[in-house]
Amino acid sequence: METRQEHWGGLAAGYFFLASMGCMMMMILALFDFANTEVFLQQVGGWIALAACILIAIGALMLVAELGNKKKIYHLHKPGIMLLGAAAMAICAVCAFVYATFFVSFLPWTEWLVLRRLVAAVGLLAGFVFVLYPGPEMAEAPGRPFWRRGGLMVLFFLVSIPVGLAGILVIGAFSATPAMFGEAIIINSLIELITLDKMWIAFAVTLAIGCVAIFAYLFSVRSKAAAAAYAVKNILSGEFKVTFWLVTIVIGIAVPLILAIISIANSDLFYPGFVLIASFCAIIGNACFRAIVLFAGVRVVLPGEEKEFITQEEITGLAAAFTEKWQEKAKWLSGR
Amino acid sequence: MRWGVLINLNKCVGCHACTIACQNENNLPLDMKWNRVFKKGPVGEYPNLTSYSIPLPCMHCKEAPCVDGCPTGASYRTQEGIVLVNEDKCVGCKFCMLVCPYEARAYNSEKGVVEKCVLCIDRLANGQAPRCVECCQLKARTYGDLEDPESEINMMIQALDAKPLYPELGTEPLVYYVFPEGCSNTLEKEAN
Repeated sequence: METRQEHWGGLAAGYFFLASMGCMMMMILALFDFANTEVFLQQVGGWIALAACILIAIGALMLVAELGNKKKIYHLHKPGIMLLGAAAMAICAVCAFVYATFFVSFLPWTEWLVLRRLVAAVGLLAGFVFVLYPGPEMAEAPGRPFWRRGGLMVLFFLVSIPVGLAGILVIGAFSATPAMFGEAIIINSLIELITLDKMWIAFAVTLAIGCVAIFAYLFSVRSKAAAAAYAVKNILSGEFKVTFWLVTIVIGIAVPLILAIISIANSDLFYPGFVLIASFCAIIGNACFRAIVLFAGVRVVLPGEEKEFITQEEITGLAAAFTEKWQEKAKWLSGR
Repeated sequence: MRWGVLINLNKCVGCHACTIACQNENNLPLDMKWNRVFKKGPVGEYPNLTSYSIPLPCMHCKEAPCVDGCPTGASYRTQEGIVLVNEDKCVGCKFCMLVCPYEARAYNSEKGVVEKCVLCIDRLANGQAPRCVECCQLKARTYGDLEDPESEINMMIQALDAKPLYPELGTEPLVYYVFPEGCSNTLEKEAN
């Protein structure tokens, strides 16, 4: 029997994670654009869009690397969930790249605000589709009850938001000041302070929501089928317990949440270093969580699957048990 | 016309002849099996224990998730209901392996493509039985047209109360099993 899903490995997990992170960064950037945060966008908008594009491109390369027959990739055009995901990813990556060019000062279209927002809107829509798509894709497997369509869509969307924010915060923090712990970010003029401050709060809130979503998903699916219960058990107390509890929960959620709460409670402690550490922790934790969800989705057990041949040891063991049982029976009979 | 196979587990002794015949017929490497045979059991409660062998070929599902999910169209279903893989189109993404609940597909790392049971489609076209059916010395396997109510396989399905494996998954397999008495084919029972 399967103890972990082995058909799709780390490359597929990396693809889902990086492309989702890039798409979410593009989505958040688009929302900032619609919210008229022009100063913020002029400072870091181009870099964020470029980073989103690069992340999506790396994710796409990981997907291609996962293929056994890369030369035939041009056959990937049958309408279906995978094509939808690939198309959404490609559109979002192109939008992110084009969006980034709006912040290159010597290009003639930098002042075309309507066009920039149109690109942002398309990127937002495509990114939204991509962030949701791993749910329906994984739920195509009827024999893997741990992957539930609706649940995974909500879960992946919710856990992607703090990661998208983390990506933006990393770029923001790098742009803020060279002295990571020397000066609080609040006195730096490079970033529009209110924007980053609010994003920091949003990061903490969405991180907490993501944590609740993770446990809600795990506890809701474990009653659906034995294979789902096995997967949840494997995550909480089995093969993936260290990765889940230490990396995803402690490093990926608890540490950034504590740092965020400390600096939100005391604005003097809003250091770029805090932001960087919290963001990197959240990114690492989320990457591991994506991999865990992928690897933990075991298939239903086929009858006798664990036993293709009876081994010599098993025959010996069965014979011994049989003999012992007969001896018990013989003793009981002689006692009568 | 819709081909189907019935496997009577009361007759199967787990000799693996079908596995070997399949490997010979399709020229498969030794470590690749399109027709695995597992031992199930002992099941039941002492002293009423039983054990049986269960061959697991491709179920050629009517609602095959591998066909629906294939991003290139390499996995397809013939008019006769046989699920096949077009190697020229397969990119080796292994999505079909991921979604198949019966683990019926094998990845050929040399070719970078996914392969599976073809129900000896060439032999069927020539009026011959699939090799696994032909080689079974205990006649545990029967094949025929599932759409013909008068066919031998349909008669046997009715008479022996044959059922597909895990029908609750909704894939509508074309392979039917006659399970030994007291042995369930349902997901709940098996999973517990």
